[in-house]
Amino acid sequence: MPENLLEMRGIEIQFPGVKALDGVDFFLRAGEVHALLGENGAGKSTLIKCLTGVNHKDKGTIVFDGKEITPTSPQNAIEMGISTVFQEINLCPNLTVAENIFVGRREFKKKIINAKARELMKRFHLDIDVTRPLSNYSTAVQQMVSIARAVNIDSRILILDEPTSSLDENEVQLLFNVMRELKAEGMGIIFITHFLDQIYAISDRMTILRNGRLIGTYDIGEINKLQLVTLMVGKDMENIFDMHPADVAPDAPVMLDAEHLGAPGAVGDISLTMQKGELVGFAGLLGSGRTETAEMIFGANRPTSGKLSLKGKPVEVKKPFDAIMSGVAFCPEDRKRDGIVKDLSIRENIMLAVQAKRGFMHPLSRAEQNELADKYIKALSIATPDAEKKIGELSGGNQQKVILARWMATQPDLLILDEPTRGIDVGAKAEIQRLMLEMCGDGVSVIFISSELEEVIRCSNRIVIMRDGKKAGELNGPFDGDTQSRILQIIAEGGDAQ
Amino acid sequence: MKNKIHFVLLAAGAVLLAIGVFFFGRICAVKDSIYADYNLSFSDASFQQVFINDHDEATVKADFDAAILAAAQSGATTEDEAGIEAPAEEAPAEEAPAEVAEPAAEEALEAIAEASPYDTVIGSYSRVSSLRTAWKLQGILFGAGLLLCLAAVIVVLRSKHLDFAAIMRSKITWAVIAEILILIVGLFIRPDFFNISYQPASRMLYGNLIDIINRSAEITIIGMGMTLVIALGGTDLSVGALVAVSGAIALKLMRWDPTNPLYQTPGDYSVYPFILVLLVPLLVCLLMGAFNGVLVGQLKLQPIIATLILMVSGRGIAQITTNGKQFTTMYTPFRWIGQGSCLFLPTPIIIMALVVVSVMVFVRKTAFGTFVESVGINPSASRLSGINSKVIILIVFALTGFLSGISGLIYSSRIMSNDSNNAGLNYETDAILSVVIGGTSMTGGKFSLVGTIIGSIIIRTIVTFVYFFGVASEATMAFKAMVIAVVIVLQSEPVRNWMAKRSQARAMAKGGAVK
Repeated sequence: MPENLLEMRGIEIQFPGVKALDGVDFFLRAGEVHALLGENGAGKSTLIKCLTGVNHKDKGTIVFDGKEITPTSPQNAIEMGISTVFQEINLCPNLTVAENIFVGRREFKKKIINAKARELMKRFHLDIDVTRPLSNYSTAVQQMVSIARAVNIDSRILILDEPTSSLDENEVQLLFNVMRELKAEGMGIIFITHFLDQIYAISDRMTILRNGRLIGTYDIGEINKLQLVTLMVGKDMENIFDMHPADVAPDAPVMLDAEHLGAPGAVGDISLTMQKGELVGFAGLLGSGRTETAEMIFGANRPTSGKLSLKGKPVEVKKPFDAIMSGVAFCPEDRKRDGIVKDLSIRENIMLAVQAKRGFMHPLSRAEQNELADKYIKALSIATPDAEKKIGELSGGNQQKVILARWMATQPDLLILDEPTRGIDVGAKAEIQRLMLEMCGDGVSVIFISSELEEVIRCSNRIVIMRDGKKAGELNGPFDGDTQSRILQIIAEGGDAQ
Repeated sequence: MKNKIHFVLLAAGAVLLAIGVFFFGRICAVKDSIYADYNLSFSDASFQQVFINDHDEATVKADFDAAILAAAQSGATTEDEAGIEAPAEEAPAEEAPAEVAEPAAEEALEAIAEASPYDTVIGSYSRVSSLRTAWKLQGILFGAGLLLCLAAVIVVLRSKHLDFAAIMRSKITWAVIAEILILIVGLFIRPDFFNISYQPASRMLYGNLIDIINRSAEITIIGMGMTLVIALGGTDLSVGALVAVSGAIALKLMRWDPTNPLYQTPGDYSVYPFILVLLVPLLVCLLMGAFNGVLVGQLKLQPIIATLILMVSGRGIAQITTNGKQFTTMYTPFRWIGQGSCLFLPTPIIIMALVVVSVMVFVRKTAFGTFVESVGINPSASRLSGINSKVIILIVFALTGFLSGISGLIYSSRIMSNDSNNAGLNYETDAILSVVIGGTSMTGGKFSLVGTIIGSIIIRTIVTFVYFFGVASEATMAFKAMVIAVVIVLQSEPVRNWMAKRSQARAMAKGGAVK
């Protein structure tokens, strides 16, 4: 039994009104990757913040390397050898890679830091020029650089908070290789992610939290995915991998008819017909034109060519408002940038699109707003004490539900969901999929865009595969086990065909 | 007893206010008696000079007689004008005011010559000292009464129904606290700082408190628009220049007579109808505001740059409008806007109240305010929700221009002239400052119109202080900056959080004790 590098015992943290952590124990060994799991609000980040000195514990002890410690600030934690890499990259894009790695250190000489940085990058198997500005490189490389920066401070513990959410498959593998190497050098790695597959691919052990309490610490072989999800959510999740769309009657009326939609530089020549109540999944890599197509239908980007008709009537969509008026709704991909209005309350966020539809001179009364908000908070089981809480204070999953409520309130005929399940925990994910399928059952047509093929295949009636801004193929359900490889094949081969 | 403390405070405050009103009545009675005996008005300043300054009996007597004599002599001429200005309403009290005025004044002069008016009106020195006490007590009582009532409000807020920590975290709370602190300082320096008196001639209440609100009208009115502009994440630098434009157009319409190009008229009438004198400047300012709105909304210029155009050119436009001339007018209806009285208060206060209420109703009773906040916080999400931000931006800037126009009318009516160089000078900074003190963040988003009113009153309080306590005029700006610096420090996030934490800790400790 290897000795524990870090022992956190009986950690309690009290926030106004809630106990964020209630007697949590967490042990990390040297040379292991330890996954920290739980839904949003389970206390993962609070535990990390306690360890890095952002939040201060009310009770409990932290023993690091045999000595009791009380980190007072992130800087203090770093000095002790605990470094963190966050989901958002906290680097300066206009400094060079080398400068980014060494900023804040005692080393200033360009030659030395460039040499050291090169050496470090070699260790990470990254072949990049360390003297160029960071902004020249992809998100994945930037992520690697921030890890390199963290590792370079002689740290014993590395905390990775959702490091893979903006990386593609190859980049994830690259990161995993680095993690394995660091592990072999005896570093303790705490790994936080929403991707269950990645946990099983890299972790040695996992600790599960729920509602600020410790559920347990398990070896990776001890429990399977379904057990893990059940432990995280706290209720039976047998349905989650078993949700499928209802069949669409062949004579159902046509809802959307797009002919040869195109905009230069984004997408070209997209034709798509959708029936009432149909769920069409969009598959394809990031940047393949999925989002751009959705934005053209919604009027966020104006198509330069092609025709669009909704419910059999030709429409001209110049701006989102026009699309909304003809019954289209759109949940954008980047929730933070394009979805939530963070300082407004849940109520205001929900009523925004309905109100825009009515115009500001015909306001919903406060009573109507409250009714609307309460209805959807209940229907979507949004976790909040009341409708007046700011949306920015909610977890990602609940924010997504509020945005969904905003559009459900407009009673759309066509709902476009762009990555609605990204970055949210597994319980909320299942609920959003359920809502999506329910709406289809009620006769709403849904376009579902997602990078996770599994959910696209499971939820869709039909799948459109995008590649390089063009429609590369279309598959009709019902789908079987081979569908995934078919899709991947189309994505890969689409280039050969041209 | 502890739960009833706010009743006690409220009752005490009310009693003090009531006694203050009683003294106010006493002072008015003495003034009225002088007025009735001589049919003359005594200006507030000379009244204060004679009675309130600590003189002995002989000085008071001499001063009083001299002042009455002076008032009687000047009254003989001014009453004529008063006859035009204040018609029918006073007629029932005095049988035929215009004709009687002059003989009455002459009678008064004779009376003064015969006997010392001091003996007939005042009678004894003890009456003077009681008047003096009344004068001093009135301010203290008003001030203390107001503060006690405020204390009662704070106690009510602290009770468990409301989240006191959240209130302490609010910037408006700190703005109010700052204002109260300034007023308390005023009370200690000059007990009569809070005095309010009634001037029968102009049918208006006078006093520092009234004056502060009266003089804050221009900035408050502009501040309503500026709040919305800042909530959108922008600033409007052109408001001060628009004030000058509005005044220039109004004065030109009153004085510019094509048939009389030398302007050698007495100026007590208006060339164009009064309604045009009011509407044309407002319309022009509205259009200029809309111009800003088009630059910002349609052409996506940064608001600071876009409004800089009119900030610089606006004063030039004002100069061109009047051919570089400075017109003056004596047109009475125009005087009423800035110097008249309405409901016993200076007219600007009433105009300000109307503007504030209309803007608040427009912003909060429609969804306009929510849309402004939404566009200010996240323009992209707002667009994707179907909000037409261009229209919102256009309306907000046009409204701000329109409100600057109203301010311009008030300002030029106060000086009965146009002044392209100095009208509305530095109004943009004062308005922005009011908004910021009022708790609206410069980054846009959530805004508070009430906060802006408080902010503008704070700024005006400081200026009134400077005048009232005779701070050297060179030091005015430095003094203002100092006080505003203190206010902004009080409002800074660390200070507010610290106070909120303290009160929260106390509340928790209290809660623990109950358990």
